[in-house]
Amino acid sequence: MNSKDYAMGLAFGIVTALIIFALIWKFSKKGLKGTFDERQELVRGRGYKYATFTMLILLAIELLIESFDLFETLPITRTLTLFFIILAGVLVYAFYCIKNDAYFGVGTDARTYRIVMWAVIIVNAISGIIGLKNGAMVDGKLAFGPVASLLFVAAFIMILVAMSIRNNSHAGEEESDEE
Amino acid sequence: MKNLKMKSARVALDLSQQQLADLIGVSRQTISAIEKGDYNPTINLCIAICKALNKTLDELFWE
Repeated sequence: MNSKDYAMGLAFGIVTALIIFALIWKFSKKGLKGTFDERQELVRGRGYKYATFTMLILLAIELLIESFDLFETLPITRTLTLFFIILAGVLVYAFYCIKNDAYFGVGTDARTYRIVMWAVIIVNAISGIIGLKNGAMVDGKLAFGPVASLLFVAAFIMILVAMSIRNNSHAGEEESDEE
Repeated sequence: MKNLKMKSARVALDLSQQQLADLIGVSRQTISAIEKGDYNPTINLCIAICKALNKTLDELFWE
């Protein structure tokens, strides 16, 4: 696959995602934002803050690595590193919101989101495995496409596990609160 | 500090945390956090809670 094909595929993916988001926004009752209560809004704001600082710290480390020309010796590209930093920020935000019960809005049906997440996991896993079969390394560096897909899979599985752990910890919580 | 007045007012009306949360449009965890003293609600939410529990602000939130 040449770089032009890759760029066209990436552009097609981004446009498709934007169209899906626009449709969800238009046809869902509450839009993408949902309805979060004031405590959840506060938690989500803190989550953004922690995610931003995480990304800033990782970007500073990335800049250091680049300034010492260490990318030449590492088997990863700068693009993959930047992707990892974005994913790390998203994960920090997601974990903080899940821990503080602010990941889903009031009355949101989490099952729909779980189904979408599993779909994303399956599509990316297939894409990643096919990509790896075609060669995990390009010019001595890890190929961005398949590795990014597998990083996506790992991130979404971690989010689902965190949601599951949080749900289990809530089981019977109200009864204990009532004591 | 735990808000035992709010909790007892809710229990007196035989409402669960989830039922009170549904009445005022917040999550159950938010009601739990207020009762445990982990979250200080805004005046708007305090008023909504008071209306749902038929109490005044003084009765529920003044120490």
